[in-house]
Amino acid sequence: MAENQEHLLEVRDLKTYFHTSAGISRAVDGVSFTLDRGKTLGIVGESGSGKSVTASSVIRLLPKTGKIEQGSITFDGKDMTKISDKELLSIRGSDIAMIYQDPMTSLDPVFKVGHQMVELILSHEKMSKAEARELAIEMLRRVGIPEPERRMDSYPYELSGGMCQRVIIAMSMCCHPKIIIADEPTTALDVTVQSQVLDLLKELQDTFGTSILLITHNLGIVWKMADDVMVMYAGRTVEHASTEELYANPLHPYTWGLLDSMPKLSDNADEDLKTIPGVPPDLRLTGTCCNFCNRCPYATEICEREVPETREVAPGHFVACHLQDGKGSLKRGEVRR
Amino acid sequence: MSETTTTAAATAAPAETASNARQPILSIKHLCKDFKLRGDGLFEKPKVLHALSDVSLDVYEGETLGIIGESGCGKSTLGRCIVQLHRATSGQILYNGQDITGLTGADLKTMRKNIQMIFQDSYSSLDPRFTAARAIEEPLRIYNLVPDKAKREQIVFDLMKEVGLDVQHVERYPHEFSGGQRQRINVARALVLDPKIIVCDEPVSALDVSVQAQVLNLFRRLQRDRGLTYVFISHDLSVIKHISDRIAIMYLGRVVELCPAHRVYENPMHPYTKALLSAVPPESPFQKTEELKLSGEIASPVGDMVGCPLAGRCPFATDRCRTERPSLEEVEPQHHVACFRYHEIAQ
Repeated sequence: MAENQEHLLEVRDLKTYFHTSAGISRAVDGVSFTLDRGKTLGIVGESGSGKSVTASSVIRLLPKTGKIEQGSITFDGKDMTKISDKELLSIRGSDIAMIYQDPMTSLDPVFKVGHQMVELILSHEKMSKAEARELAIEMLRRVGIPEPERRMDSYPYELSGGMCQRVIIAMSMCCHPKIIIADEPTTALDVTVQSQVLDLLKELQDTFGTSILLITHNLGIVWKMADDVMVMYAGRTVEHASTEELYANPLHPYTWGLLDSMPKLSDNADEDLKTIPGVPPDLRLTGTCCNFCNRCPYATEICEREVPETREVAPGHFVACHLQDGKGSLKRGEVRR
Repeated sequence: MSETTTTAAATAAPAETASNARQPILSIKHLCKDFKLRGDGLFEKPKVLHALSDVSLDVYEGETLGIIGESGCGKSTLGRCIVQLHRATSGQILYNGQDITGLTGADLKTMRKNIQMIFQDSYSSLDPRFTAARAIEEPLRIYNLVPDKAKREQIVFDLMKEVGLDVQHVERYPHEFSGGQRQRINVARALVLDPKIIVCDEPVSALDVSVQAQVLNLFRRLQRDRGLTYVFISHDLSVIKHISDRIAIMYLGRVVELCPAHRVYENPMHPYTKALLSAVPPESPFQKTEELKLSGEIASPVGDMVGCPLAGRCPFATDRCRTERPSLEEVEPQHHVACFRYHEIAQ
């Protein structure tokens, strides 16, 4: 049992490795976080940082080469790494729902939208087919789809990307899940539709008290949606804090780089963007030093020798950096070398 | 747009950036592009998709014209029309005063030397069987500009250094590079013929933020060093605002607003621009924007359209908006808007 009932999802020291012919790739290498009831946790990182693999590990939807090597995932008192496949199947789709990046490929193209929704409801709830259909129509109406009765008989290709994503959100809400894992839910959508979909997610969260694990590369979406945010880099957590704290007082050099390299509307466009030089490391070779040390302008000799521990430098603010104690031992923009 | 406003735009626009009046290096006049779609039934008439309707824009030497809009607004079609990958249905595209629409054969080849294009997907725009060096060298071979092999090699080396690629990687194939590096190869290939204009169609959309910033800085450095002119197409308003001097906002095949980059943020006039701005995710967790929300989604560009393209979604739409098409008018120096009610909305 989880010690704290508030913690709906608790991940401790999760390590998920991929065993490929070219070697072991440490996609997730020691990630810990908790998600409380009704809250939103944003996981931010660039491609290859392990954010999607973290989410897939939670519901054990990993490809054959991927394996959870270590760590515990406690969801609602159950250890997800140990439960049987049958139990897992009943949790997926009902207690934990997933929304993926590409709405067009998440739906089966050869079945009508209504058919797919009814199938999902019937597999988790005890009700008649007619009742399931009623519920599906009700959910479609809730997510703002015009003429839901008629849309039940549409095929996915007849709907636009934004509409498809709404259908998927409606589907995910059908069984009143405790968590929605949203993996880049709006990346494939246009900005005006993106803001509609995000508003919808937030509204549904307020109504049903659902927790959201939001995976994105866009910090702007995190500012809009999340209560807490975790920044990942090359399979490890580099910084974890409340959204306001991370914005007002970011402490890790990678977070600084990420914040600086985003072009902002309010900026003076005459200056060049600050960038992070170099590229992320090969995930097969990480684990012996700070993963960011080859791109970090502040790096010293200890960074190349030891993996930094995640430390709580202020209440609720975790940083994994040798040089940062949160009390000004490392200041943004002060390069010592 | 009427003939008088076109000339007004041509004389007023460069006043801020240069003291002597510049002629536009590229002038797009009343450009239309239709695509014919097959009808639904066997004897059904073919339908017409209006990708671009009556687009008029001027691009001046050394500036970046940003083009922004959502998917299906015709921004990529416009880019492809400029490099003659699509043939315009009507209208003209003037490069240095010469009409380039409908050029064929040797004339087209000469023109293309000056106008190059960079695409979004860095991987599919490179031949997987060509090494980096061969890909960059290819245009020189096609135009047979430098017959000497050693000299060609030197040009390739210099260019790779200029765009920030490691010259040790000349013999690598596209799949061995990361997305950012591949986009640098594409930039180098576009530059090898020393073009005047580069049309960039979403060149940084597929890249991660930190790499995106590197490539954006590269674009700006090259522009400073070589005096390049960019037509920069993107759906990301913050990227467009960062890189552009002027911005054209497109909706359903029309330009709805055209203004200097900073004005878009300071004083957006068209309701669509306002909606686009308020839909951009916030810059901080404390920012609460006053949102102008558009209901529904972008309408279909198939079939004939009457009235303002935004009328179905705009909260300010009147009967006039639904029946009459607003033209792009200069309402402030250098600030063009196509809306009947922009002055009422501003209040």
